[in-house]
Amino acid sequence: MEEEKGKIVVSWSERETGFQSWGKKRREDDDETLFQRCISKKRRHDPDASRKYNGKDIRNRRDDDNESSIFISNDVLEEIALKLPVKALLRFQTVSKHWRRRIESRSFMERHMLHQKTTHEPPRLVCLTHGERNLTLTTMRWSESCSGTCLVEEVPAHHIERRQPELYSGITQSCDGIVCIFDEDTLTTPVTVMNPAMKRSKILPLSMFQRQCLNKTKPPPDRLILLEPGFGKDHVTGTYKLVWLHNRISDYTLSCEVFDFEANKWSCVMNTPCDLYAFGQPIFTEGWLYWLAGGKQFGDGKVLAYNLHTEMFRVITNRLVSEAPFLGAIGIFSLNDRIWLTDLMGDGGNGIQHFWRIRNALGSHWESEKMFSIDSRLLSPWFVSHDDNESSHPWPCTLVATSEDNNKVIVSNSFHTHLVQLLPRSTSLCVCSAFSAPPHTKFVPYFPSLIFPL
Amino acid sequence: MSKKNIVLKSSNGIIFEVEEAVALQSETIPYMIEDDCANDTIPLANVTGDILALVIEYCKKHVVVADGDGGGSSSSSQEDLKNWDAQFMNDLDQSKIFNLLLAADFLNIKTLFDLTCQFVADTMIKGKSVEEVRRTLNIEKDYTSEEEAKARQENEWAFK
Repeated sequence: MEEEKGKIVVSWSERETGFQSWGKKRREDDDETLFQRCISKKRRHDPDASRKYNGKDIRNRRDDDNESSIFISNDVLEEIALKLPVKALLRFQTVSKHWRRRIESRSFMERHMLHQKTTHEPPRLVCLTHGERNLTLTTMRWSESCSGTCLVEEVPAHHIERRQPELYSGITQSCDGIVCIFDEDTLTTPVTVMNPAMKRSKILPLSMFQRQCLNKTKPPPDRLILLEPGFGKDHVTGTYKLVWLHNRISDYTLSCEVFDFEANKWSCVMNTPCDLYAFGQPIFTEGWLYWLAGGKQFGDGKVLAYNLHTEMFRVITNRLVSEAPFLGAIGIFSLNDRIWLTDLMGDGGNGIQHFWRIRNALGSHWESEKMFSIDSRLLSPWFVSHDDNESSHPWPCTLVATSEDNNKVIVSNSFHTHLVQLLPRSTSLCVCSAFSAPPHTKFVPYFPSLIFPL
Repeated sequence: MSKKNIVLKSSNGIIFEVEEAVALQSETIPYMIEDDCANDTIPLANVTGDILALVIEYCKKHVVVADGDGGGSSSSSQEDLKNWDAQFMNDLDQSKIFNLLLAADFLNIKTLFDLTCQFVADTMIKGKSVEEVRRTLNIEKDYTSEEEAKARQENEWAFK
């Protein structure tokens, strides 16, 4: 495989966070992207530059006198506004107070979001990168043309200060275009909620466990194993919630804290299940959060589910999860409101990774249908293990985007900062293109919205 | 079965005869046929001849061929249609675009309405200054200068 490093697809504002692409050839499409970006910078200083550049605009901008005779009703104008990207809407709402009220109304936000959500093409991602002093969130669009593929930066990157630069931060799954950022290895840093398309963020108050950890005089509750918090929405009331589970390994019990964005406070959930430990990152879909979970006995894998409205837990069984030799061989993720499972150790661990979609997410026993499989050995140039330790095993890849027919997919791996585009159903050329990012970059599937809780 | 034709009459009295499948992309026309079944000509009091000609050109291009052979549209023809749509919109001036938008709304042709809305959003709002947008869309500024400056400040980055 030829590596052609050094082609900057997207120039990031921080030098250390340069994306690089590997590819078969030079791509004209990249040049076009860079060209457009140059133009858009120029436009700031020279209002005529856009007209000169975009020939279409000249033809369509006939500032004739007759235009004033046409009356467009506010309802039709709202339909037009629904088609605007977030950045243009933030500008558009300063045309008048009427439009500001209209755009800031819940109904407009919901309709706008639905439009953004249903246009899956092109796939969009949020990337979290670690700079020396700052964390950077960038929204990117997967752009494809006949000459190649590239990642295009959509909104200027958003920076937040790294309070403890020695620690790495994690990012929750995106719900309605919103994500939460947290520190992976400590409970003492507050969580930041953020809408990257609006470049708006806010720091949440500390949870009770976080305060106990900060307060050194009082030891933290029994030995806790830190898990990542899960972000989602109560599908009945529309309230956003952040749910943080902690494993108490001394007696296999879980404790759970929930931050309610409407009430702006944390509370404890009492009725947590017993004899279980949760594992990995929770995923959200349709009012529920899900974790992979293990029991006291080996090979006792389950799925733990939490309803964000009733605040009740339930345990779900599934053949793939219960048959897995260890939970790390299984991946769970949600994409476009569907739950997926993936297993790397099926067929005796021959390197083939299967991707399954759950048919009955609301059932107590999940039935999964196999959508496609990929040969993980083909991915080894990107997802090779740097750890020579014999005990280390490959981790399953996660899907970050798929085309509607699943013929084209983009995968990432939580321990490697690459994205690889694949054609799982083609027989000859499997890997289309790949992108590398700086160390500790995280990718999350996402769509832009105008929603900001709090 | 022989193909049925429908006769449409524009506000300025121009007559268009089109196949039923072409006309029925409008969700308004079926109601007009029911209401007015005795008369073969459907009067469209809100749409002028030149705009109706554009609407019909669009509907002819987008009519779904329901014949048995092959059936459905392949992805390449989807791509062709997209390119055709882009060219179709590009050839129109602003006044035609607005009139087409209103006609698509009145006749309730969803795909044409969405296409026109998207085109207006992309070419007349997206890259334009607030002042330009007000002028193009006839929006009255009800902010005082201070209020406007404050509203702008809240999302300063979006204006760069």
